[in-house]
Amino acid sequence: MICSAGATLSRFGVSIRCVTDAGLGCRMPRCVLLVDDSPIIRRTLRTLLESAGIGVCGEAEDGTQAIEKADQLKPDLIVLDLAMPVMNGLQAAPILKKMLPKTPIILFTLYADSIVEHEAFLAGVSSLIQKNEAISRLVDEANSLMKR
Amino acid sequence: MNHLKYPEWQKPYEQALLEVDREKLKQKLLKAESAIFLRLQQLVNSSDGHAERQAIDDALSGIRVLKTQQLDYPDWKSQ
Repeated sequence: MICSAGATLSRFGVSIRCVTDAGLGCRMPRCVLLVDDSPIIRRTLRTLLESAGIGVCGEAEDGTQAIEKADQLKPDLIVLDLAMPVMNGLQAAPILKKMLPKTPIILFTLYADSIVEHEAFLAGVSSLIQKNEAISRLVDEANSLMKR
Repeated sequence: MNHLKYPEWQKPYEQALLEVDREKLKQKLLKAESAIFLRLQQLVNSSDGHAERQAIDDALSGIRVLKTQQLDYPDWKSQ
């Protein structure tokens, strides 16, 4: 979403004033939904993304919560864990994709293998990042997917 | 004497393995997984650590079994 300098936009119940324009308009802060059952990992990812200028508009700790939050928040990107209670990432991904077909999903997991990778892409996941990879890759991939 | 070779993540993992209370087990597994994640981030740029990575893979297999069999997490290898 693009606004011009001085305009005020409301999203997620928060008013945001666009303060710069440079003739190009300013972009709304991008909004990521973080889904992971570990509060420590959610906090780490939030710090990482926010320090890279990517806003985190919501968190969820399992697939069902992710679906509720995605419906409310309409995020620009979803970072989804695999191994979660109630509904795991592979179960949630196709539902999220059906709800928000333009929203890319990154599956961020400790448990990747070729089977998971194959099922993830069938489920509508845009990118799979293993938690043993450099965490900076998550920021790069998030930026890349949200530019498309 | 500490019998653990990689105590920063093996200690929380061992504590999870010994836990019998379901709710406490969930919290301890989350702690172990988070410790493993943080340790893996430290190992990202290290060419050493092959043995530790293998030990982590073994621990993750154990965590997966506990999550799916003890805590009824939906398994992700039989969608």
